[in-house]
Amino acid sequence: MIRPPMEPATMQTQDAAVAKLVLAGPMGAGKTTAIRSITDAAPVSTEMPLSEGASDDKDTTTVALDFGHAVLEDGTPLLVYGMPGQERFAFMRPILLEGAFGVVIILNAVDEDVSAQCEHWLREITAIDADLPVVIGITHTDRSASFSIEPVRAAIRNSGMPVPAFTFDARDKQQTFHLMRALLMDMQ
Amino acid sequence: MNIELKYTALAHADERRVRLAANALAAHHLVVHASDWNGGHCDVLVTDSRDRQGALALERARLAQIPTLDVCARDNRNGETGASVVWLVRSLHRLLREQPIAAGAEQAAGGARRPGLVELVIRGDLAGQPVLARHGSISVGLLPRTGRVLSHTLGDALHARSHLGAPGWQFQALKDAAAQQAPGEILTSLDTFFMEGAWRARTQLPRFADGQYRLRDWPDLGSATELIEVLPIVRALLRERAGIADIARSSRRSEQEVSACLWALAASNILLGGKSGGEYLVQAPAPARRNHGMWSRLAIHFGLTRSG
Ligand SMILES: Nc1nc2c(ncn2[C@@H]2O[C@H](COP(=O)(O)OP(=O)(O)OP(=O)(O)O)[C@@H](O)[C@H]2O)c(=O)[nH]1
Ligand SMILES: [Mg+2]
Repeated sequence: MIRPPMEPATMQTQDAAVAKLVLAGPMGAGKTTAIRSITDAAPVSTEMPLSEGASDDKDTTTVALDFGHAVLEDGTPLLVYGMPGQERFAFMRPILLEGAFGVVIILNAVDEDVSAQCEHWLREITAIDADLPVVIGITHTDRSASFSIEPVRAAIRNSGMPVPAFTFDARDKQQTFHLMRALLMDMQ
Repeated sequence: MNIELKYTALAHADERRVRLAANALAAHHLVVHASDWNGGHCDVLVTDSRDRQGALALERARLAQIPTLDVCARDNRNGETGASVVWLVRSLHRLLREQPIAAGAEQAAGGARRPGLVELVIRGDLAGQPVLARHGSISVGLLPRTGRVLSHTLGDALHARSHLGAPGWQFQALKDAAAQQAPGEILTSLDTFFMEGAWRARTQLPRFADGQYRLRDWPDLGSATELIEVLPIVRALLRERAGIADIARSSRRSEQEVSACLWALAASNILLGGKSGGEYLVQAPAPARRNHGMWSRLAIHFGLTRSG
Protein backbone atom coordinates (compact mmCIF):
# COMPACT_ATOMS: atom_id res chain seq x y z
CA MET A 1 0.00 0.00 0.00
CA ILE A 2 1.11 3.53 -0.68
CA ARG A 3 1.36 5.53 2.50
CA PRO A 4 0.31 9.17 2.46
CA PRO A 5 3.56 11.09 2.27
CA MET A 6 3.51 13.57 5.12
CA GLU A 7 6.79 15.37 4.53
CA PRO A 8 6.35 18.39 2.29
CA ALA A 9 9.53 17.48 0.42
CA THR A 10 8.19 14.11 -0.63
CA MET A 11 4.96 15.72 -1.82
CA GLN A 12 6.68 17.28 -4.80
CA THR A 13 5.01 15.69 -7.76
CA GLN A 14 6.44 18.00 -10.40
CA ASP A 15 8.61 15.13 -11.58
CA ALA A 16 5.35 13.62 -12.79
CA ALA A 17 6.17 10.28 -11.21
CA VAL A 18 2.90 10.62 -9.33
CA ALA A 19 -0.32 12.46 -10.08
CA LYS A 20 -1.70 14.34 -7.13
CA LEU A 21 -5.27 15.57 -6.75
CA VAL A 22 -6.73 17.53 -3.86
CA LEU A 23 -10.38 17.67 -2.78
CA ALA A 24 -11.47 20.72 -0.79
CA GLY A 25 -14.72 22.04 0.62
CA PRO A 26 -16.82 22.49 3.71
CA MET A 27 -17.59 19.86 6.33
CA GLY A 28 -19.96 17.14 5.25
CA ALA A 29 -19.98 18.05 1.55
CA GLY A 30 -18.81 14.63 0.43
CA LYS A 31 -15.02 14.75 0.16
CA THR A 32 -14.37 11.39 1.81
CA THR A 33 -17.15 9.84 -0.29
CA ALA A 34 -15.73 11.30 -3.51
CA ILE A 35 -12.25 9.95 -2.67
CA ARG A 36 -13.87 6.55 -2.30
CA SER A 37 -15.48 6.98 -5.75
CA ILE A 38 -12.25 8.10 -7.42
CA THR A 39 -9.86 5.62 -5.86
CA ASP A 40 -9.82 1.87 -5.81
CA ALA A 41 -9.30 1.28 -2.13
CA ALA A 42 -11.20 2.66 0.86
CA PRO A 43 -9.63 5.95 1.89
CA VAL A 44 -7.24 6.15 4.77
CA SER A 45 -9.21 8.67 6.80
CA THR A 46 -8.87 9.89 10.27
CA GLU A 47 -12.64 9.71 10.81
CA MET A 48 -14.05 10.61 14.20
CA PRO A 49 -17.61 10.09 15.39
CA LEU A 50 -19.69 13.23 15.11
CA SER A 51 -21.42 13.48 18.44
CA GLU A 52 -23.29 16.71 17.99
CA GLY A 53 -25.34 17.61 14.95
CA ALA A 54 -25.01 14.14 13.50
CA SER A 55 -27.62 13.50 10.82
CA ASP A 56 -29.14 10.22 9.60
CA ASP A 57 -26.49 9.55 7.03
CA LYS A 58 -23.53 11.35 8.50
CA ASP A 59 -22.09 10.20 11.76
CA THR A 60 -18.37 10.80 11.27
CA THR A 61 -16.19 13.70 10.22
CA THR A 62 -12.66 13.66 8.91
CA VAL A 63 -10.13 14.97 11.34
CA ALA A 64 -6.96 16.24 9.72
CA LEU A 65 -6.54 14.16 6.57
CA ASP A 66 -8.15 11.92 4.00
CA PHE A 67 -6.11 9.95 1.55
CA GLY A 68 -6.81 7.47 -1.20
CA HIS A 69 -4.93 6.16 -4.19
CA ALA A 70 -5.42 4.58 -7.57
CA VAL A 71 -3.04 3.50 -10.31
CA LEU A 72 -3.10 4.93 -13.84
CA GLU A 73 -2.81 2.62 -16.85
CA ASP A 74 0.95 2.93 -17.11
CA GLY A 75 1.48 2.34 -13.40
CA THR A 76 1.69 6.00 -12.33
CA PRO A 77 0.18 6.35 -8.86
CA LEU A 78 -2.74 8.76 -8.50
CA LEU A 79 -2.78 10.18 -5.00
CA VAL A 80 -5.99 11.82 -3.81
CA TYR A 81 -6.03 13.99 -0.71
CA GLY A 82 -8.99 15.48 1.11
CA MET A 83 -8.39 18.87 2.63
CA PRO A 84 -9.72 19.08 6.12
CA GLY A 85 -12.90 21.13 6.13
CA GLN A 86 -12.35 22.57 9.56
CA GLU A 87 -10.73 26.00 9.75
CA ARG A 88 -8.32 24.93 12.49
CA PHE A 89 -6.53 22.81 9.89
CA ALA A 90 -6.17 25.71 7.43
CA PHE A 91 -2.41 25.71 8.00
CA MET A 92 -2.19 22.37 6.18
CA ARG A 93 -3.70 23.66 2.93
CA PRO A 94 -0.58 25.05 1.22
CA ILE A 95 1.31 21.90 2.09
CA LEU A 96 -1.40 19.73 0.62
CA LEU A 97 -1.68 21.76 -2.60
CA GLU A 98 2.03 21.60 -3.32
CA GLY A 99 2.55 19.72 -6.58
CA ALA A 100 -1.12 18.96 -7.19
CA PHE A 101 -2.32 18.91 -10.83
CA GLY A 102 -5.77 20.12 -9.84
CA VAL A 103 -8.33 20.75 -7.13
CA VAL A 104 -11.93 19.61 -6.82
CA ILE A 105 -13.99 21.94 -4.62
CA ILE A 106 -16.96 20.04 -3.25
CA LEU A 107 -19.92 22.12 -2.04
CA ASN A 108 -23.13 21.01 -0.35
CA ALA A 109 -26.38 22.19 -1.98
CA VAL A 110 -28.12 21.95 1.38
CA ASP A 111 -25.88 24.68 2.85
CA GLU A 112 -27.79 27.94 2.82
CA ASP A 113 -24.85 29.90 1.50
CA VAL A 114 -23.51 27.68 -1.29
CA SER A 115 -22.41 30.69 -3.33
CA ALA A 116 -20.56 32.24 -0.36
CA GLN A 117 -18.89 28.86 0.23
CA CYS A 118 -17.96 28.78 -3.44
CA GLU A 119 -16.37 32.21 -3.29
CA HIS A 120 -14.60 31.35 -0.04
CA TRP A 121 -13.02 28.16 -1.37
CA LEU A 122 -12.05 29.66 -4.71
CA ARG A 123 -10.35 32.49 -2.81
CA GLU A 124 -8.60 30.05 -0.46
CA ILE A 125 -7.21 28.02 -3.35
CA THR A 126 -6.21 30.93 -5.59
CA ALA A 127 -4.51 32.70 -2.70
CA ILE A 128 -2.21 29.69 -2.40
CA ASP A 129 -1.79 29.01 -6.12
CA ALA A 130 -3.58 31.20 -8.67
CA ASP A 131 -2.80 28.90 -11.62
CA LEU A 132 -4.13 25.69 -10.16
CA PRO A 133 -6.89 24.11 -12.32
CA VAL A 134 -10.12 23.88 -10.33
CA VAL A 135 -13.50 22.23 -10.81
CA ILE A 136 -16.57 22.68 -8.59
CA GLY A 137 -18.85 19.78 -7.73
CA ILE A 138 -22.11 20.39 -5.87
CA THR A 139 -23.51 17.43 -3.92
CA HIS A 140 -26.82 16.78 -2.13
CA THR A 141 -28.94 18.54 -4.78
CA ASP A 142 -31.36 15.63 -4.32
CA ARG A 143 -31.98 16.89 -0.80
CA SER A 144 -32.47 20.58 -1.58
CA ALA A 145 -35.70 21.83 -3.17
CA SER A 146 -34.47 25.41 -3.34
CA PHE A 147 -31.03 24.86 -4.85
CA SER A 148 -30.18 27.17 -7.74
CA ILE A 149 -27.03 26.93 -9.86
CA GLU A 150 -27.20 30.62 -10.77
CA PRO A 151 -25.70 32.09 -7.54
CA VAL A 152 -22.83 29.60 -7.85
CA ARG A 153 -22.22 30.77 -11.42
CA ALA A 154 -22.32 34.38 -10.24
CA ALA A 155 -19.71 33.56 -7.56
CA ILE A 156 -17.52 31.91 -10.18
CA ARG A 157 -17.80 34.96 -12.45
CA ASN A 158 -16.91 37.22 -9.51
CA SER A 159 -13.82 35.17 -8.81
CA GLY A 160 -12.59 35.85 -12.35
CA MET A 161 -11.75 32.14 -12.61
CA PRO A 162 -14.28 30.66 -15.03
CA VAL A 163 -14.13 27.11 -13.74
CA PRO A 164 -16.66 24.32 -14.46
CA ALA A 165 -19.45 23.78 -11.92
CA PHE A 166 -21.36 20.48 -12.02
CA THR A 167 -24.02 19.11 -9.71
CA PHE A 168 -23.18 15.49 -8.88
CA ASP A 169 -23.61 12.75 -6.31
CA ALA A 170 -20.31 11.88 -4.65
CA ARG A 171 -21.57 8.33 -4.03
CA ASP A 172 -21.83 7.77 -7.79
CA LYS A 173 -18.53 6.68 -9.33
CA GLN A 174 -19.54 7.62 -12.89
CA GLN A 175 -20.63 11.13 -11.87
CA THR A 176 -17.45 11.64 -9.85
CA PHE A 177 -15.40 10.50 -12.86
CA HIS A 178 -17.37 12.89 -15.07
CA LEU A 179 -16.47 15.78 -12.77
CA MET A 180 -12.83 14.80 -13.22
CA ARG A 181 -13.34 14.85 -17.02
CA ALA A 182 -14.56 18.46 -16.78
CA LEU A 183 -11.44 19.37 -14.78
CA LEU A 184 -9.21 17.73 -17.38
CA MET A 185 -11.14 19.27 -20.29
CA ASP A 186 -10.72 22.70 -18.76
CA MET A 187 -6.97 22.13 -18.30
CA GLN A 188 -6.34 21.12 -21.89
CA MET B 1 -50.36 34.27 -48.71
CA ASN B 2 -50.78 35.68 -45.19
CA ILE B 3 -47.60 37.03 -43.66
CA GLU B 4 -47.01 38.09 -40.06
CA LEU B 5 -44.54 40.97 -40.13
CA LYS B 6 -43.35 42.27 -36.78
CA TYR B 7 -41.22 45.29 -36.00
CA THR B 8 -39.42 46.52 -32.90
CA ALA B 9 -37.06 49.31 -31.80
CA LEU B 10 -37.80 51.43 -34.88
CA ALA B 11 -37.86 55.21 -35.05
CA HIS B 12 -41.37 56.55 -35.46
CA ALA B 13 -40.86 57.49 -39.12
CA ASP B 14 -39.39 54.07 -39.95
CA GLU B 15 -42.30 52.34 -38.28
CA ARG B 16 -44.71 54.30 -40.49
CA ARG B 17 -42.75 53.42 -43.63
CA VAL B 18 -42.68 49.73 -42.66
CA ARG B 19 -46.48 49.77 -42.37
CA LEU B 20 -46.74 51.46 -45.78
CA ALA B 21 -44.36 48.93 -47.29
CA ALA B 22 -46.36 46.08 -45.74
CA ASN B 23 -49.50 47.36 -47.48
CA ALA B 24 -47.63 47.88 -50.74
CA LEU B 25 -46.63 44.21 -50.78
CA ALA B 26 -50.23 43.40 -51.73
CA ALA B 27 -49.11 44.23 -55.29
CA HIS B 28 -46.97 41.08 -55.01
CA HIS B 29 -49.98 39.05 -53.78
CA LEU B 30 -48.63 39.08 -50.25
CA VAL B 31 -51.10 39.93 -47.48
CA VAL B 32 -48.86 41.33 -44.79
CA HIS B 33 -50.06 42.11 -41.26
CA ALA B 34 -47.62 44.45 -39.56
CA SER B 35 -47.56 44.90 -35.79
CA ASP B 36 -45.28 45.29 -32.77
CA TRP B 37 -43.11 42.27 -31.89
CA ASN B 38 -43.86 40.56 -28.59
CA GLY B 39 -40.92 38.17 -28.85
CA GLY B 40 -42.99 35.39 -30.37
CA HIS B 41 -42.70 33.68 -33.71
CA CYS B 42 -43.39 35.60 -36.93
CA ASP B 43 -42.51 35.43 -40.62
CA VAL B 44 -40.23 38.41 -40.69
CA LEU B 45 -38.89 40.88 -38.14
CA VAL B 46 -37.90 44.45 -39.05
CA THR B 47 -35.68 46.31 -36.62
CA ASP B 48 -32.82 48.78 -36.31
CA SER B 49 -29.48 47.36 -35.13
CA ARG B 50 -28.24 50.82 -34.13
CA ASP B 51 -30.65 50.61 -31.25
CA ARG B 52 -29.52 48.34 -28.37
CA GLN B 53 -32.96 46.76 -28.11
CA GLY B 54 -32.96 46.33 -31.86
CA ALA B 55 -29.57 44.60 -31.80
CA LEU B 56 -30.78 42.24 -29.06
CA ALA B 57 -33.96 41.53 -31.04
CA LEU B 58 -31.85 40.65 -34.08
CA GLU B 59 -29.85 38.14 -31.99
CA ARG B 60 -32.98 36.63 -30.57
CA ALA B 61 -34.67 36.37 -33.98
CA ARG B 62 -31.58 34.76 -35.48
CA LEU B 63 -31.57 32.16 -32.71
CA ALA B 64 -35.24 31.51 -33.44
CA GLN B 65 -34.47 31.31 -37.18
CA ILE B 66 -36.83 34.20 -37.96
CA PRO B 67 -35.90 36.11 -41.16
CA THR B 68 -34.89 39.66 -40.26
CA LEU B 69 -34.53 43.01 -41.99
CA ASP B 70 -32.27 45.61 -40.46
CA VAL B 71 -33.25 49.12 -41.58
CA CYS B 72 -29.63 50.21 -41.39
CA ALA B 73 -28.39 47.29 -43.52
CA ARG B 74 -25.40 48.15 -45.67
CA ASP B 75 -27.30 47.99 -48.95
CA ASN B 76 -29.71 50.64 -47.72
CA ARG B 77 -28.07 53.76 -49.22
CA ASN B 78 -30.54 55.90 -47.42
CA GLY B 79 -29.50 54.25 -44.13
CA GLU B 80 -28.55 57.46 -42.37
CA THR B 81 -31.99 58.98 -42.68
CA GLY B 82 -33.88 55.73 -42.21
CA ALA B 83 -35.30 53.27 -44.71
CA SER B 84 -37.24 54.41 -47.76
CA VAL B 85 -40.54 52.73 -48.55
CA VAL B 86 -39.22 51.60 -51.94
CA TRP B 87 -36.18 49.96 -50.35
CA LEU B 88 -38.37 48.33 -47.71
CA VAL B 89 -40.78 46.89 -50.28
CA ARG B 90 -37.94 45.56 -52.41
CA SER B 91 -36.04 44.07 -49.44
CA LEU B 92 -39.12 42.53 -47.85
CA HIS B 93 -40.24 41.05 -51.13
CA ARG B 94 -36.81 39.52 -51.74
CA LEU B 95 -36.62 38.22 -48.17
CA LEU B 96 -40.06 36.63 -48.26
CA ARG B 97 -39.44 35.09 -51.66
CA GLU B 98 -36.18 33.60 -50.41
CA GLN B 99 -37.99 32.09 -47.44
CA PRO B 100 -40.40 29.62 -48.95
CA ILE B 101 -40.91 28.16 -45.48
CA ALA B 102 -44.22 30.06 -45.38
CA ALA B 103 -43.94 30.05 -41.64
CA GLY B 104 -47.46 31.45 -41.45
CA ALA B 105 -48.86 28.40 -43.15
CA GLU B 106 -46.73 26.14 -40.97
CA GLN B 107 -48.02 27.88 -37.86
CA ALA B 108 -51.60 27.51 -39.04
CA ALA B 109 -50.91 23.80 -39.26
CA GLY B 110 -49.68 24.04 -35.68
CA GLY B 111 -46.24 25.02 -34.41
CA ALA B 112 -46.64 21.88 -32.35
CA ARG B 113 -45.38 19.94 -35.37
CA ARG B 114 -41.83 21.10 -34.74
CA PRO B 115 -39.57 19.15 -32.37
CA GLY B 116 -40.39 20.30 -28.82
CA LEU B 117 -36.88 21.59 -28.22
CA VAL B 118 -37.00 23.73 -31.38
CA GLU B 119 -40.46 25.07 -30.56
CA LEU B 120 -39.29 26.06 -27.09
CA VAL B 121 -36.26 27.98 -28.40
CA ILE B 122 -38.22 29.66 -31.19
CA ARG B 123 -40.87 30.90 -28.77
CA GLY B 124 -38.99 34.07 -27.86
CA ASP B 125 -41.73 34.95 -25.37
CA LEU B 126 -40.65 31.97 -23.22
CA ALA B 127 -36.93 32.81 -23.16
CA GLY B 128 -35.58 32.64 -19.62
CA GLN B 129 -39.08 32.09 -18.18
CA PRO B 130 -40.26 29.23 -15.97
CA VAL B 131 -42.29 27.04 -18.31
CA LEU B 132 -44.77 24.23 -17.85
CA ALA B 133 -44.06 21.75 -20.65
CA ARG B 134 -46.60 19.06 -21.55
CA HIS B 135 -46.21 16.07 -23.78
CA GLY B 136 -49.12 13.65 -23.76
CA SER B 137 -49.95 12.94 -20.14
CA ILE B 138 -46.50 13.96 -18.89
CA SER B 139 -45.71 17.43 -17.59
CA VAL B 140 -42.46 18.90 -16.36
CA GLY B 141 -41.52 22.32 -15.03
CA LEU B 142 -38.53 23.93 -16.80
CA LEU B 143 -36.90 26.44 -14.46
CA PRO B 144 -34.07 28.27 -16.25
CA ARG B 145 -33.49 30.75 -13.42
CA THR B 146 -32.40 28.00 -11.05
CA GLY B 147 -31.18 25.60 -13.74
CA ARG B 148 -33.53 22.82 -12.63
CA VAL B 149 -36.26 20.59 -14.05
CA LEU B 150 -39.18 19.70 -11.83
CA SER B 151 -41.19 16.50 -12.29
CA HIS B 152 -43.45 14.11 -10.39
CA THR B 153 -41.13 11.17 -10.89
CA LEU B 154 -37.69 10.58 -12.34
CA GLY B 155 -39.49 8.50 -14.99
CA ASP B 156 -41.47 11.58 -16.09
CA ALA B 157 -38.29 13.61 -16.48
CA LEU B 158 -36.68 10.79 -18.49
CA HIS B 159 -39.77 10.43 -20.70
CA ALA B 160 -39.83 14.17 -21.36
CA ARG B 161 -36.10 14.21 -22.07
CA SER B 162 -36.31 11.41 -24.60
CA HIS B 163 -39.17 13.09 -26.47
CA LEU B 164 -37.58 16.54 -26.85
CA GLY B 165 -36.93 15.79 -30.52
CA ALA B 166 -40.57 14.84 -31.10
CA PRO B 167 -43.46 17.15 -31.98
CA GLY B 168 -46.67 17.49 -29.97
CA TRP B 169 -45.42 19.62 -27.08
CA GLN B 170 -47.33 22.38 -25.37
CA PHE B 171 -45.52 25.12 -23.49
CA GLN B 172 -46.97 27.62 -21.10
CA ALA B 173 -45.11 30.34 -19.20
CA LEU B 174 -45.50 30.07 -15.43
CA LYS B 175 -45.79 33.00 -13.08
CA ASP B 176 -43.12 32.81 -10.40
CA ALA B 177 -45.64 31.83 -7.75
CA ALA B 178 -47.02 29.08 -9.99
CA ALA B 179 -43.48 27.89 -10.72
CA GLN B 180 -43.22 26.93 -7.06
CA GLN B 181 -46.15 24.59 -7.56
CA ALA B 182 -45.01 23.24 -10.92
CA PRO B 183 -45.37 19.48 -11.17
CA GLY B 184 -43.78 17.26 -8.56
CA GLU B 185 -40.80 17.56 -6.32
CA ILE B 186 -38.08 15.68 -8.19
CA LEU B 187 -35.47 18.22 -9.26
CA THR B 188 -32.74 17.51 -11.77
CA SER B 189 -30.32 19.56 -13.84
CA LEU B 190 -31.93 21.56 -16.66
CA ASP B 191 -28.71 21.72 -18.71
CA THR B 192 -28.30 17.94 -18.53
CA PHE B 193 -32.00 17.47 -19.42
CA PHE B 194 -31.73 19.55 -22.59
CA MET B 195 -28.29 18.27 -23.56
CA GLU B 196 -29.21 14.60 -23.21
CA GLY B 197 -32.48 15.21 -25.07
CA ALA B 198 -30.81 17.17 -27.88
CA TRP B 199 -28.00 14.64 -28.25
CA ARG B 200 -30.44 11.77 -28.51
CA ALA B 201 -32.48 13.72 -31.10
CA ARG B 202 -29.51 15.15 -32.98
CA THR B 203 -30.47 13.58 -36.32
CA GLN B 204 -34.04 14.91 -36.04
CA LEU B 205 -33.13 18.51 -35.20
CA PRO B 206 -32.74 21.14 -37.92
CA ARG B 207 -29.41 22.89 -38.28
CA PHE B 208 -29.10 25.69 -35.73
CA ALA B 209 -29.14 29.23 -37.14
CA ASP B 210 -25.77 30.33 -38.50
CA GLY B 211 -24.09 32.92 -36.35
CA GLN B 212 -21.29 33.47 -33.86
CA TYR B 213 -21.86 31.80 -30.51
CA ARG B 214 -20.18 31.42 -27.18
CA LEU B 215 -20.71 30.43 -23.57
CA ARG B 216 -19.92 32.46 -20.49
CA ASP B 217 -20.66 29.74 -17.93
CA TRP B 218 -20.08 26.01 -17.98
CA PRO B 219 -23.39 24.19 -18.38
CA ASP B 220 -24.22 21.86 -15.48
CA LEU B 221 -23.60 18.49 -17.13
CA GLY B 222 -22.65 16.65 -13.92
CA SER B 223 -25.12 13.83 -14.43
CA ALA B 224 -24.69 13.61 -18.22
CA THR B 225 -22.03 10.97 -17.68
CA GLU B 226 -22.54 9.38 -21.10
CA LEU B 227 -22.03 12.62 -23.02
CA ILE B 228 -18.26 12.75 -23.13
CA GLU B 229 -18.34 13.99 -26.76
CA VAL B 230 -20.16 17.14 -25.66
CA LEU B 231 -17.30 18.33 -23.43
CA PRO B 232 -14.96 19.46 -26.26
CA ILE B 233 -17.85 21.34 -27.90
CA VAL B 234 -18.59 23.14 -24.63
CA ARG B 235 -14.94 23.95 -24.15
CA ALA B 236 -14.69 25.37 -27.68
CA LEU B 237 -17.69 27.63 -26.99
CA LEU B 238 -16.10 28.82 -23.74
CA ARG B 239 -12.78 29.61 -25.39
CA GLU B 240 -13.93 31.60 -28.40
CA ARG B 241 -16.85 33.15 -30.14
CA ALA B 242 -17.32 31.03 -33.23
CA GLY B 243 -19.64 29.70 -35.91
CA ILE B 244 -20.89 26.13 -36.22
CA ALA B 245 -18.23 25.01 -38.72
CA ASP B 246 -15.36 26.44 -36.62
CA ILE B 247 -16.65 24.85 -33.42
CA ALA B 248 -17.00 21.53 -35.24
CA ARG B 249 -13.40 21.81 -36.46
CA SER B 250 -11.85 22.77 -33.12
CA SER B 251 -13.81 20.18 -31.13
CA ARG B 252 -13.44 17.49 -33.81
CA ARG B 253 -17.15 16.77 -33.75
CA SER B 254 -19.65 16.94 -36.62
CA GLU B 255 -21.63 20.09 -37.41
CA GLN B 256 -24.80 18.12 -36.64
CA GLU B 257 -23.48 17.40 -33.14
CA VAL B 258 -22.49 21.04 -32.61
CA SER B 259 -25.91 22.12 -33.80
CA ALA B 260 -27.63 19.77 -31.33
CA CYS B 261 -25.56 21.24 -28.48
CA LEU B 262 -26.50 24.77 -29.56
CA TRP B 263 -30.22 23.89 -29.45
CA ALA B 264 -29.75 22.52 -25.92
CA LEU B 265 -27.72 25.50 -24.67
CA ALA B 266 -30.19 27.96 -26.22
CA ALA B 267 -33.05 26.15 -24.48
CA SER B 268 -31.14 26.43 -21.18
CA ASN B 269 -30.87 30.15 -21.91
CA ILE B 270 -27.10 30.21 -21.40
CA LEU B 271 -26.00 30.50 -25.03
CA LEU B 272 -24.74 33.92 -26.01
CA GLY B 273 -24.76 35.35 -29.49
CA GLY B 274 -21.77 37.16 -30.91
CA LYS B 275 -22.63 40.76 -30.19
CA SER B 276 -24.18 41.04 -26.76
CA GLY B 277 -22.13 41.37 -23.57
CA GLY B 278 -18.41 41.91 -23.22
CA GLU B 279 -17.71 39.38 -20.53
CA TYR B 280 -14.55 37.38 -20.21
CA LEU B 281 -13.78 34.38 -22.28
CA VAL B 282 -12.06 31.44 -20.66
CA GLN B 283 -8.34 31.65 -20.95
CA ALA B 284 -6.21 28.67 -21.66
CA PRO B 285 -4.23 27.65 -18.57
CA ALA B 286 -0.63 28.77 -18.22
CA PRO B 287 1.54 26.58 -20.45
CA ALA B 288 3.88 25.76 -17.57
CA ARG B 289 1.04 23.84 -15.94
CA ARG B 290 0.59 21.54 -18.85
CA ASN B 291 2.34 18.27 -18.57
CA HIS B 292 0.97 16.58 -21.61
CA GLY B 293 2.10 13.07 -20.80
CA MET B 294 0.46 13.18 -17.38
CA TRP B 295 -2.67 14.82 -18.78
CA SER B 296 -3.07 12.04 -21.34
CA ARG B 297 -2.69 9.34 -18.71
CA LEU B 298 -5.28 11.01 -16.48
CA ALA B 299 -7.63 11.53 -19.44
CA ILE B 300 -7.45 7.81 -20.24
CA HIS B 301 -7.92 6.85 -16.61
CA PHE B 302 -11.06 8.98 -16.21
CA GLY B 303 -12.50 7.92 -19.56
CA LEU B 304 -12.15 11.27 -21.33
CA THR B 305 -10.01 9.78 -24.09
CA ARG B 306 -9.20 6.24 -25.13
CA SER B 307 -5.75 4.76 -24.99
CA GLY B 308 -3.80 4.11 -28.18
N1 LIG C 1 -28.10 12.44 -0.50
C1 LIG C 1 -26.85 12.61 -0.87
N2 LIG C 1 -25.88 12.25 -0.03
C2 LIG C 1 -24.60 12.43 -0.45
C3 LIG C 1 -24.27 12.99 -1.69
N3 LIG C 1 -22.93 13.06 -1.79
C4 LIG C 1 -22.44 12.57 -0.63
N4 LIG C 1 -23.43 12.18 0.20
C5 LIG C 1 -23.37 11.67 1.59
O1 LIG C 1 -23.00 12.78 2.40
C6 LIG C 1 -22.42 12.32 3.61
C7 LIG C 1 -21.20 13.15 3.97
O2 LIG C 1 -20.13 12.84 3.13
P1 LIG C 1 -18.58 12.81 3.58
O3 LIG C 1 -17.86 12.20 2.41
O4 LIG C 1 -18.40 12.20 4.90
O5 LIG C 1 -18.28 14.35 3.69
P2 LIG C 1 -16.87 15.06 3.97
O6 LIG C 1 -16.77 16.21 3.04
O7 LIG C 1 -15.76 14.07 3.94
O8 LIG C 1 -17.11 15.62 5.44
P3 LIG C 1 -16.01 16.05 6.56
O9 LIG C 1 -14.98 14.97 6.59
O10 LIG C 1 -16.81 16.11 7.81
O11 LIG C 1 -15.50 17.37 6.16
C8 LIG C 1 -22.13 10.86 3.38
O12 LIG C 1 -23.09 10.11 4.11
C9 LIG C 1 -22.33 10.64 1.89
O13 LIG C 1 -22.81 9.35 1.59
C10 LIG C 1 -25.36 13.39 -2.56
O14 LIG C 1 -25.19 13.92 -3.66
N5 LIG C 1 -26.61 13.17 -2.09
MG1 LIG D 1 -14.47 13.49 5.31
